[in-house]
Amino acid sequence: MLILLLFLLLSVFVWSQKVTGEDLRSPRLLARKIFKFLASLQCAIVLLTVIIVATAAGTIYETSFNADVAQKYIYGAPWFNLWLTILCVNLYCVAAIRYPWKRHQTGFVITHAGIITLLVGAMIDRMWGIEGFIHLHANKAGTSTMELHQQELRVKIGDKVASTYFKLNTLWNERPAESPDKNVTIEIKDVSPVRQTEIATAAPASEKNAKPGLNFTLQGPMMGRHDGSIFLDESDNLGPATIVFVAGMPPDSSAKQNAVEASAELAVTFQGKSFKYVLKSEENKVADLDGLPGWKIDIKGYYPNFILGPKGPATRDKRPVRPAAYFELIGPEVAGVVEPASDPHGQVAIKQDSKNAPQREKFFVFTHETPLMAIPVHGASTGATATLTVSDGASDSSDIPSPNGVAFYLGSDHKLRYLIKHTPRRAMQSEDGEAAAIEKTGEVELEKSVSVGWAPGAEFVVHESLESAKRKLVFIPKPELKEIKDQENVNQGIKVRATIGNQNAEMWVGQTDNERPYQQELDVAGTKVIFEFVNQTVTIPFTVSLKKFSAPRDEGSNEFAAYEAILGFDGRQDTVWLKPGTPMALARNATMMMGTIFDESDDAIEFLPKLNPRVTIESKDIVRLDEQSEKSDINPGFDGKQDTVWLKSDSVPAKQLGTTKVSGLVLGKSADSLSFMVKQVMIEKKDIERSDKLTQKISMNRPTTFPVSWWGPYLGTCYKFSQANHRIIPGDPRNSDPNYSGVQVLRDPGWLLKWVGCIMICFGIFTMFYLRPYFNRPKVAAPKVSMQAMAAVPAFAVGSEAKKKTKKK
Amino acid sequence: MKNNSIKLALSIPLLALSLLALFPLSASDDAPAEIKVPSMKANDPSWNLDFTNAELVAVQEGRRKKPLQTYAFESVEQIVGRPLMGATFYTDKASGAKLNSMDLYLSIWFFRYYWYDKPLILVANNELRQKLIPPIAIIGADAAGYAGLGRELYFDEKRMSIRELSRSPLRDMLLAAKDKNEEKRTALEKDAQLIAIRMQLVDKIAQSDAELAVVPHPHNSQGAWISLLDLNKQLHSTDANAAKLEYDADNSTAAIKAFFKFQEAYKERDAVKFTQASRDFRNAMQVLSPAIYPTDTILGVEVQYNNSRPFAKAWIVYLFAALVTLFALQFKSKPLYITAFALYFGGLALHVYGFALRCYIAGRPPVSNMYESVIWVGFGAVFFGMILEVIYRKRFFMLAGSAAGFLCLVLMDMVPVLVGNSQTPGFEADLKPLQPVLRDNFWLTVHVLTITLSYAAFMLAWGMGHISLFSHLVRPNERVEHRELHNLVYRIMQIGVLLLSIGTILGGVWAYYSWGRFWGWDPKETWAFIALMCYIVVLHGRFAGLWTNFGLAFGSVFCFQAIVMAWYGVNFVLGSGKHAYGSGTGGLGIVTTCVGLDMAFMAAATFQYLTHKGAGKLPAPDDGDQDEDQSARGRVEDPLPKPNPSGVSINYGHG
Repeated sequence: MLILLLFLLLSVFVWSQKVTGEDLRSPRLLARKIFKFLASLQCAIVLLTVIIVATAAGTIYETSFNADVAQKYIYGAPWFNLWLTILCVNLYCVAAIRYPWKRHQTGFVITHAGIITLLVGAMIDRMWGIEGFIHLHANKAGTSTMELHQQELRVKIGDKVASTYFKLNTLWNERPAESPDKNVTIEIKDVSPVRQTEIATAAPASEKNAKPGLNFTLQGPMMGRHDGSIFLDESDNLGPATIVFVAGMPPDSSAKQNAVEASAELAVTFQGKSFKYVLKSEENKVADLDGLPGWKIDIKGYYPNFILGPKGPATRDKRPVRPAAYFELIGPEVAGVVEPASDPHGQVAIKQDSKNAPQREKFFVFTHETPLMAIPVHGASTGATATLTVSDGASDSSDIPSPNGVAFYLGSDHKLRYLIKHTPRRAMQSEDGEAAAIEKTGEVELEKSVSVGWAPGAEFVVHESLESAKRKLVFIPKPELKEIKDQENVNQGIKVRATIGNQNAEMWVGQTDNERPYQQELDVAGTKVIFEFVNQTVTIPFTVSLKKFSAPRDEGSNEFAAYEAILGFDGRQDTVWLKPGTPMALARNATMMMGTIFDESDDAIEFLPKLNPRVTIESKDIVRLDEQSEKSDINPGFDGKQDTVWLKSDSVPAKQLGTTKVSGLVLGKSADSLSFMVKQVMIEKKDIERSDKLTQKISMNRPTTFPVSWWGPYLGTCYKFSQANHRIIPGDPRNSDPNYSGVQVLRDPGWLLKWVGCIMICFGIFTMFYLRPYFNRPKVAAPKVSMQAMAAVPAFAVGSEAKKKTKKK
Repeated sequence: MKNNSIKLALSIPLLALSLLALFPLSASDDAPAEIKVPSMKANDPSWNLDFTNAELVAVQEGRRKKPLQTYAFESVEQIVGRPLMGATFYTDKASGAKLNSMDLYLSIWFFRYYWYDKPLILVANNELRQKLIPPIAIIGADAAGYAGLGRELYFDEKRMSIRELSRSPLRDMLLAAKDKNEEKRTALEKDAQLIAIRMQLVDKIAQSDAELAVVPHPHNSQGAWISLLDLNKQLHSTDANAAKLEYDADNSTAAIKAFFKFQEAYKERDAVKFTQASRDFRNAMQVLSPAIYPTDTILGVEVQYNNSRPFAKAWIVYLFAALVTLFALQFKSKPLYITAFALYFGGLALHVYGFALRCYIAGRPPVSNMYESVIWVGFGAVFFGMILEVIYRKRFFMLAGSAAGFLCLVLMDMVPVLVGNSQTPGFEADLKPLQPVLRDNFWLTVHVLTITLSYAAFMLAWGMGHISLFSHLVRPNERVEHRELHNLVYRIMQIGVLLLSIGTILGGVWAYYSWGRFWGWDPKETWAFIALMCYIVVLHGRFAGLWTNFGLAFGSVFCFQAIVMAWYGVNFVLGSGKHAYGSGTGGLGIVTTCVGLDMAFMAAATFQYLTHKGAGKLPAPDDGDQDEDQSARGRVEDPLPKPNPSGVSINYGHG
């Protein structure tokens, strides 16, 4: 492409030389006609308009599909490149046709040359530049493997391997794939996000761990689709429902269809004491409040299905559809009854003229099943609060622990039966809510869907029931995940088909969560075909390792404030030479320390020695302990947060370590001592003879380059490393993995041209707009600046121009 | 990278009852019976409290330290809605009391049960409100005698109480919406999620004892602050595993006591006592960790910013400036012109003052979200307008500039706070720390400010274009005026093109350092490029004589639609790409309507231009006012350029 471009430029230049000076109005040659057309502004406007429309369409593509699609069909498409090349030629011709240039054309020439330079730089980058991604793990050996933004399907038959490269995001249709064996045809049939799932596959009963298993699907318009498997004596919690698989027969549940009345519990908190009452419908009772002399509670009623009838509160029936309780607190007689305040701001009105009367307050309490927030009913005059809760009523007959679920029963007659349990959610607004769990049993028929009733349209299908089965890891397509945008953690997969003769087999091959590829085997007509689906990788000529990653947070929150990584290239480490005789040198019995310099302040450096010693520190030696690391099973020391110990200067561990402040992790704690892993030590600058820093720090907006040279960053001949990604620890979204950093790598040899081009464009535009009067000045000093030129520029510019002139004079 | 806090906010606020059990601090949070103060009328002047000291209590909220007043203002605004024209009072219909945001905040905090039953929560969507009003509310009158029933009497037109909402079908709507993708949620469900956020916020205020981080960190300036409840726990805990007290014990005890005094004084509504107690409370908090506590100056500046509302005042001034300029144009009056200029300058001064305060508070250039960028663009348009007005003295720049400033500021003052949905922000005005990648004041300043200044220049060109088109529309034969206007449009368009080119290129350089590549056809990049190309096409076409100066005026209005797309559309309509941190939702209706009206206006002006072309007064001889490019090649705008006799060569004016 570039050569083509250069050729075009060269030839056009030759043509332009020929035509210069000749009469442009009498074209003779076709070349000259083409040249003139290319140099015309109409052509430029057509080119620009097409680019405008195409790129606008590209942004819409990107929104409706993804960036790769826009890249493939527009920005990276051959026709778009060609179009840009023609634009380049056009820019060149426009300038060339005016050669030799006049003084006032300076800005115009600079701008156009700048755009050409920029475009050439972009072409060079596109052809010889490289962009990729490196996954780095702390405490691991360096890597030189870089992932590209392109995928690879590796097919292995016997010991022959063939690879097919493609961009997953632009894979729409079926396409053939490379096969290592001529007799085997490999095709990619489909693409989808996938999820790794275990399925039950038939296995000989003699095999270890083989037991009855079945594959099923649970699906519904509201709940999505779950493909799962279950083995005998196991259960699987799917969130809204539980699946269990047991031996035996389903219990007879018909007797339990009419569940016993649900009981309700009324909880009252009054004057710091709590009281609880179990209520039955239309129950009335009066009880003393223990410990509060003179106070009693008058429960006037419990209404499982509350309505406000003409005679007051009532219940429709005994089903707890809209449970409510009505009670009154009655207290000792006082002079003047306190009325509820109408305004909270310090105003409690008192009925001055009332006679002695008991304090009393009525309460109406609804259950808090539907409300968003459990706000107890609060009596303004007594200050009591009350809540009402209703238990589920019916007890369970089945083996399903949760309100909803399916239990499979494998009977001794080898028949598979199911029991579906469904507990409807009581909704306050629903007039006919139901109370207890509904159970339904039946015999399982393969591939026949059974409605479960948990959600509208929800159903399950059993695909396969195996008397003897084992587990196998497979990828199952989850097309619905495609709609979840920017889900970086969704694994991608493709459906492959291998054909030998007229026999074929299909399988989903996917990427796994860890970076290692997962090999999958497909058996076609007796031939074993092994598939591997990975991101394409290249090797860079040196190794990179992660020394430290940290993601500090914004104050008082878990939002990330920055991402920082310290990288080591080609195994390089930092070295510190200590002054002989300093405590640390004495403690270590050496003056040279290898490791990583983490942080440097005016008077000390934070240093991570290559080896992390473990020490036991007695409590009496500790001045202060600052425990920052959050302990967890998943990962000790989140976000690189560490514990810090300040030691007494004359204590044994301080002498051992040669410093009084150490950072690391508290591994264990007892009453009088501390087991501590030292990760960082503070070395005071006065103790250091010299240090040699070879590791490089990167953070957002602060990339680094390697190999190190002063010209590399300008010419773009070295690799540039930018902090790009971090990893959230699965299951604990608050925390980023302190041992992982994703680094973006770029080598862009066109960078210098891009830079120069950019500067030329900006300067050129400025020249055209604002320095025109200067360049318009005839070479021979004109007696005065023309009025027209004066008018064309703002008054201040002319003023400054005039000043300049007077100075020159 | 997703915003976790937004995700958290999305989770349905099923706050457990147990939270309420955590309240040893305010055991007597209802009006205690033993305090028997005669009822005061709300219009009694002694009812008003002086919040000056309470406002200056520092809290750590939203990832930064801010005065309590800011937090009270932001949260109350979210709950009850943003008041028009800066009326910051909520009127409690039950008592007739008028409460400002600080007052309402403290009242919800100290009398939460009272407010659970009051219509606080804005349910702006009528359809949703109809659905949410629970049937039980209708029987309120019958049940007025019972605690727990009948509090819905104080029915508000647009607002509902937490208790009403908690009995409404809101929960079912939220559950239905929970598992859906953002795009699949109905407008009603999105609004329901906003209601849930508001409810959560009321509850958070009510539980400020436990939720409000008001106790400064003992030694770390970036450390997490704790609540009064935590401090109290640390102070009194006998549990060996509990967090140890990290503050001076006497100071902590004094702080807790000061808080109780503060609470008591507020509840009693004793103005004298409250002033003293709030000062003591604030000082007690400061004494706990004086090195970490923000200084009075920093907090004071923010309070001043909140109270002065400079942007809300500036748009009124701009409006007057625009009107007076119009009169000055009409009557050709110099005194009016001077008045208009004074007003214009006054508005700009207010604008700059607001910006300076905001920069000082945030510690960065305020162009990080839609709200800030709209205000900044307004400033840029006014600023360029003033510079060019000083140079050319044509009054048009002042008219266009003040109109642009007015438009930007009034829009941002009027849009409701929560026009976005639960996942993406709308036009929030509150100051938030930036995303890590944006935390580089150098690049933020040079790239974003340059780009947005180019938007400002184009906005001014757009305003000038409108004046020009309007002139074509109503005075189609005033050739001299048209030519003058076109030249002015050309001047401002030049500034825009230069700034947009520089800004886009600087963006590329920043992207090279932060994202790793110079140019990647990201939608924001692409639309900046498209906008630039549009203006370039207009300039070149005019230059080559493909269209006349009318085309330039038309282009200045038309091309601004590309700027609108690059500025608003990419983030609020397309919502994809790497500039996602500016993403949001809302305002699509308004923007589409405006663009539609604009198109209609352009069409009308074009029709008028085409029908009157060639008629009317002949242009005055070239008086030097016309652009040099044209005079250089001796072409005038009317009539249309003659076909070139050679048929081939196009003279650009370069040669």
